Amino acid sequence: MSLFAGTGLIVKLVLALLIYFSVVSWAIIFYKFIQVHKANKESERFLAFFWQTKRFDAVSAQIDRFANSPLSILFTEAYNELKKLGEKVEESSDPNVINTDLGGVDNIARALRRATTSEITRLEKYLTFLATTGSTAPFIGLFGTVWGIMTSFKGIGETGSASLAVVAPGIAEALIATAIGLVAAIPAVMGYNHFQNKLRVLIAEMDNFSTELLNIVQRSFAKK
Amino acid sequence: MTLTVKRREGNVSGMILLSISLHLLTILIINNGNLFHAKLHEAAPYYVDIINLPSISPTAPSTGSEPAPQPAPIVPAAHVAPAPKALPPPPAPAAMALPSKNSPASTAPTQEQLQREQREQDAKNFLERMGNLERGAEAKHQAAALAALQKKASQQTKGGPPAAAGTAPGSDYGAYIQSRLKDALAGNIVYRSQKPEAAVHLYIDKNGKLVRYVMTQPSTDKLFNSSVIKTIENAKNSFPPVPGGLPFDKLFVFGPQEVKH
Repeated sequence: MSLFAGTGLIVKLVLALLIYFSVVSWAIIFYKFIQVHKANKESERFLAFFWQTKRFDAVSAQIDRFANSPLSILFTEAYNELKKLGEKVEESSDPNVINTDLGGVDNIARALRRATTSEITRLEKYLTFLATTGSTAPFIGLFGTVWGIMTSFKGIGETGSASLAVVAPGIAEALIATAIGLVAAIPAVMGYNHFQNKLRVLIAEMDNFSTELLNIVQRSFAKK
Repeated sequence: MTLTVKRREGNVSGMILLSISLHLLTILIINNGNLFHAKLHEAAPYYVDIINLPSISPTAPSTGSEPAPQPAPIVPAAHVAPAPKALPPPPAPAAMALPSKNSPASTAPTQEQLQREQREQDAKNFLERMGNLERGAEAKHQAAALAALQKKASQQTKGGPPAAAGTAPGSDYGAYIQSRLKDALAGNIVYRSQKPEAAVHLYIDKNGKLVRYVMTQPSTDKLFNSSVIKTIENAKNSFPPVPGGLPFDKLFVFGPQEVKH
């Protein structure tokens, strides 16, 4: 604490900024950890349930159980679009058959793409803050250190003494800023890379599920 | 009817509170654990009494039948360190003190006790001689240093400005003050400009106490001015009383490397 108390105004501001970065970064890391963990678990459970049930209306009845899975959102969007198409194609003899000539499957594909983009945006929310913290916090800390050392050397010049006892405390106080900058940046970079990796897996799962869903729609509902 | 998913999103503000408490806990641990304070493991100093070592004492008996010499007693550093100042002879170490009267051996002094007493006496004599020699050497050293200083001061006065004959009262004193200021200048001077110069008028009373000083012509370099003042403050305690018992005042011009008057 004495090291913090002995620093100048600029270094104190730098330290406050870095502590803010660190606090928010850790909050985002906790939040994202829970969000991505839930998304992964519920996606696994949803896929198992989906392939086991094989009926869209049965899946839609249980969809709230998988609310945190992005795949459940994709299914919901596709299902809603399918229902809308079913209502519009009244001239068809079979109400369960979609006329692919009117672009019914394309409509569902577009709805799935939109839902995928929306889910990716939701899952990537706040990750930019982690990236910003990881890349700027060391430099902010370095700035604080350079400023602290400048002040320290100015003091040395004014006192006219350059002994280790005079130089060392100022340098130590200044180096605290770099240390705090690294303490803020390292978890942020690690968290960012971890969540980016997890999101890549989820995005691949969403793409695969979209393709599977379109295939099922094409096979089951569209007129050949 | 459109199908919707009721999603329960987590709360970021709750996570911020958790993060804040985690940071506070970390700071508390660091602060209480003194993680930033280096702990030095210092070895206990070991003192050796080189004067009372048995092999050094020139008069110590060394018979073959005598038991092995006792280890040198540990005494405080002040008694042992080769200090330049003359020290009074150290007291006899506790290890060599006479045994108490309660001891059964004290009733009839043995050969060993007699030898020990003899050694103790020899050591005392040796220390006294050493003390006298050290005091003599120190006195000689101080006399030589004083003579050199007086010679230097007289030479500086003779090489002064043409108007000064070196015989006027206080002229030697001015040179001496100049030399004191010059010595203090070396450790304090700091400047930013090329060739700063500051003129300071010093007023010293008959006892050598600096009464006041006036910077009649300050330099444009504030850092230099403050270092000149610091130089005077450091040097003022080394001013001796003015010869002749009169107050002294003189203008000194301070430069980066020298002091003129």
